[in-house]
Amino acid sequence: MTDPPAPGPHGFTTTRWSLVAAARPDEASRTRARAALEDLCRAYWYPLYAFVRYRGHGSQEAQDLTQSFFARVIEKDGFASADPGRGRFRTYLLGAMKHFLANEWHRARAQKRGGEVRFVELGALEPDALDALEPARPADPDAGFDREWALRSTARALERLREESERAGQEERFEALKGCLTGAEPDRSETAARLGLTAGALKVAVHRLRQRYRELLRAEIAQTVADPSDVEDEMRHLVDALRGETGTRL
Amino acid sequence: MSPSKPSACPRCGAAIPARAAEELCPACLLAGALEAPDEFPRELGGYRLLGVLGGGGMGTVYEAEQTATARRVALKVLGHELDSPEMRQRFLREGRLAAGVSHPNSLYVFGTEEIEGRPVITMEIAGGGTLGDRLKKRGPLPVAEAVDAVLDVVSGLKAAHAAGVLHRDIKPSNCFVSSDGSVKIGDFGLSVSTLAQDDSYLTGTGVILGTPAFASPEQLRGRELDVRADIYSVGATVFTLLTGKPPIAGRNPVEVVAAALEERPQALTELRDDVPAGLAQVVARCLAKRPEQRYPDYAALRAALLPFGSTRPEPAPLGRRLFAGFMDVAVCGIIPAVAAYAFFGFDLDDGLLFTERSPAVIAAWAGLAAFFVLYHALFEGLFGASLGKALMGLRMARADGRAPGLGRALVRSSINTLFGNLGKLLCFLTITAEQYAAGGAVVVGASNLVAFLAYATMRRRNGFATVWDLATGTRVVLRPKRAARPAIDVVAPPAASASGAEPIGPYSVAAEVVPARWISARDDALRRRVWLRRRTSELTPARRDVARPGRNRWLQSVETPAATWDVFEAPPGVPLRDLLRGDGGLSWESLRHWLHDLAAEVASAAKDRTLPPELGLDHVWITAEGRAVLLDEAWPGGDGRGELVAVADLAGRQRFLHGVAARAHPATVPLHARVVLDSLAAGSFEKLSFLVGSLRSLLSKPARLDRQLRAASLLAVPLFLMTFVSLLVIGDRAGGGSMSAESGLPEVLLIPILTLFVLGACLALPQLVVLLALRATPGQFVFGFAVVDAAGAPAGRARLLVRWLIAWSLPAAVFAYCGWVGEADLGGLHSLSLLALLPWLFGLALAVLRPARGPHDRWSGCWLVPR
Repeated sequence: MTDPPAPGPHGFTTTRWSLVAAARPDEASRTRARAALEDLCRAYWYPLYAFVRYRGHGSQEAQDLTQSFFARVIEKDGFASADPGRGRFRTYLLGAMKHFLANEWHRARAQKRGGEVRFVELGALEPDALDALEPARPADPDAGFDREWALRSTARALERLREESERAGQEERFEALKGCLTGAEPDRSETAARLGLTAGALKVAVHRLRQRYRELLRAEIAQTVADPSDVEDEMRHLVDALRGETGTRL
Repeated sequence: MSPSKPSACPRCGAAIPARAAEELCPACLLAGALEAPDEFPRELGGYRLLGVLGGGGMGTVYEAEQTATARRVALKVLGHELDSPEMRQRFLREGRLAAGVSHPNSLYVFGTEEIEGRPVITMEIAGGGTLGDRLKKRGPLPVAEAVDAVLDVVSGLKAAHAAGVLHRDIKPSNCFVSSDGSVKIGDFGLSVSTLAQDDSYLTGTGVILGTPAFASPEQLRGRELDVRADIYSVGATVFTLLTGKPPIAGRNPVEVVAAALEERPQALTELRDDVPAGLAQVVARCLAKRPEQRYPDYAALRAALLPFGSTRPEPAPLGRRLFAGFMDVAVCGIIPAVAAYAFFGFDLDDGLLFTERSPAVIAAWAGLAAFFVLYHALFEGLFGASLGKALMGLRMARADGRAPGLGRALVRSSINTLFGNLGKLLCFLTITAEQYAAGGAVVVGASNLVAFLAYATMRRRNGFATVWDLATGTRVVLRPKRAARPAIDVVAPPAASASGAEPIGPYSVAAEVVPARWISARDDALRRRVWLRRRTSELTPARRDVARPGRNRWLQSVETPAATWDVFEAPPGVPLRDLLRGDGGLSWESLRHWLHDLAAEVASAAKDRTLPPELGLDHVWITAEGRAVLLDEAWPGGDGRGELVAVADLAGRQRFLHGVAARAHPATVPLHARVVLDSLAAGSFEKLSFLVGSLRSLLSKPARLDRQLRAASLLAVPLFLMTFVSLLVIGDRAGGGSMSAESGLPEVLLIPILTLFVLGACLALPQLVVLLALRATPGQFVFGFAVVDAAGAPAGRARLLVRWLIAWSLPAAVFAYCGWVGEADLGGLHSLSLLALLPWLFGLALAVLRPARGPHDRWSGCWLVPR
């Protein structure tokens, strides 16, 4: 899986989803779009898997269905039905999955039995680890899907920030300051002492980390919308989804 | 693997999902990234954000500059993470409630708007941080500084309460320090209206309203609240300012709530040595668990806090102190003397003490001294003043303003009693019964003068301290008076448009003050009244920025196709002219505040060039809270009384202010104010600031005679004389009694008639002589009042004579009848004649009830004013 290019000061003009949504029928364009879609699907398989579970399917069945769905969407040019007017990868994917579950899942299951597709390596996870990943069951599966989506977006941006910090040899600093990313204030004197920073330097470090996370998260979300001006709106939607409900564990 | 228990986000309190990366709250991560980067300056709508002032309960507060006007404001923006329809509603309600409070001790709200989809409240910027910041920076505050700050908070809360708003979240971080050092309340995020029925009690499920460490038990229980809940929070705030920590603490909110409901906070005196015990008691009363045990209102709380502020009490004037002493001696003398005689048949006469020297007599004398000691110790220790002092408006205080406390009061009254009896004691030990009988009585009498040694230490510079004052570090001081502004009644303005006129911007038109030029309108979002004035010339930036209580604030401008309107605050109130209708004029008690407000405003406006070129009475607006506001344009409908004065120069400004001062009812102006007003009339102030200073000093002086002082002035001497007479009569009876027989008066009449006689001889007649010579009595100086005529000038001799005759004619007649008729009294008319004193006593009561003008003042065309 390739990561999106790190955002520079100028941001993006073309996002992955805009590539998909605006794919033209020529081969080069389709190839680019397929690659972009594949990247996105790999990144966001879990919310879909969770959604299938919310709809009442067992764990194993849900894994199979998700695999089949991705295979079908990507292999069979499912993105051709993507409506750029809808603007967001998230809503597209959910709509497509609903359609898939309603009409095509039995066919897909038959194909799975043929054992031809392993799109996402769910098997690589230990059964216990998968258990731990079991989603809570929300009252509204659509909202639950959005929630999982939001969790995934924020987590991906965090993963990237951690990687960047590690590369720069600032793992300890990341550990100490990551709590600030939620807007919480660290115990300044204690943290500064621990990191061997002056109060001023700590302030700057917190500011930079927040700034970078903001960029990374925006970049992450930008990959899933057709128009960069939708990023804030999408973020707000995801905050609402997270604040909406907590659900009960399955 | 079993799922671990979800932990709560320290920021939003929500449970963090088990799968959240790095165990960070994803909603806060997203919301944090949504916040614009905290780089300044940056643009937000029509504002330039300059920095973060703080995080309020519901969002971030920025320091900002309005791009169009360059006005500095505080911008409160609802946080993304909190954005929900309910929070939006609560946020806008905060704006509306805060906008209803316009007071120098409350942050002013200019308006609410929506910027980039987020609700925003625009408010006055205080500039000096919060009391919480001050606490963080400097640690616990000095006692007087903390109390001064909280007195400001109390004033702001009182205004909020008058506007029907309960704050519900008073704590140091919601008290803002302005550039002039005064403190303003802000953050009405949790406030509720006590008036509006439609203003539902908004609570999110599971949301704790208020800050647990500062919230009253009833607030934590979710019960119905009243002003006493805010009083609790004020107490918690004082506690925190003095100790650096809130009265209730715990490791987490649950512990805090449990402690707030159950535990009694530690006494302030245990945490800090220099906190006066009296202040600790005030705070403890604020923090009482049951609302009914707290102060009932802000007036009571203010009065309780005042002695601990930086305003030092004034030493008691000697005259008043002397009279207080008379009254206390009357109480300490008459009660034990009567008791001793009635129950034991003891006559507490010096003679018996020296001639008999029996244990019983000595015990009686010791009892009397003990009574004197206990009386003072108990009253002064527990209540801060003996009866006499209380009646004379005095109280006891330690050098730092604290009440003396029981122990100190006991030592003080013991020394006092010792000095009072020192001469007698020395004589008792040295003079034998024989020597006493052979002229020693004179020596004993003279020895009483030893007591006066104790007064030899009194100096102006030591606050007139006697020996017992010095020994115990106490002083007798004037009880601080509250110079509260008398509020005025305001008829509510029409609520909605009567004419069906088109709204102008967000404002619905209510009425036209001046057709097509000045409109009274209503801001429906903030539910407050505004004035819209058609712009004929550009407002100066200085006028737009005016944030003084003496001027209505400019809020914004509104463009319509036809005109540009400047929107001003329209404080509820009436034009001064409306208050002038009716007789006489305005009472000095109100007018002195307005005069000071106006002088201060004219002085400030002259400095920043925001003074209109001409001013008249119609430029004066009186708010419902009793503040005077200078209008930029004359209120229409003047009837010639509002003559305009050019105020370009100092003379003109004084003429305008004199025009206002001249509206005072002359017979209500105290003598001390006449001097200032005469100088104003003559235009002889060299600077307006001198006038402002003089007027300010007038605010701390009494504006009218109060009942308590009037009662003291009427009763102190008669009471003392009556005690004296009673002791005489009791002594006479104990000694076999010949007074009744000699005078021919029945026993029952002895005390009243003798008192009348002594009153006439010792009070009325000398009073007449002094009055005719000096046109004032010593009593008037002691009690600080003067008798004036309708023009406010000291009354003439003829008038004073008439007044004296009216006052004394009845008792003189009764005395004359009883005294002269004597034994020849027919049918016991003696006793009946006493009934003639009833109207006199009734008149006396009336004179106390209406201290400025009793019956004898009215009939003689006089008024009483403070000296």
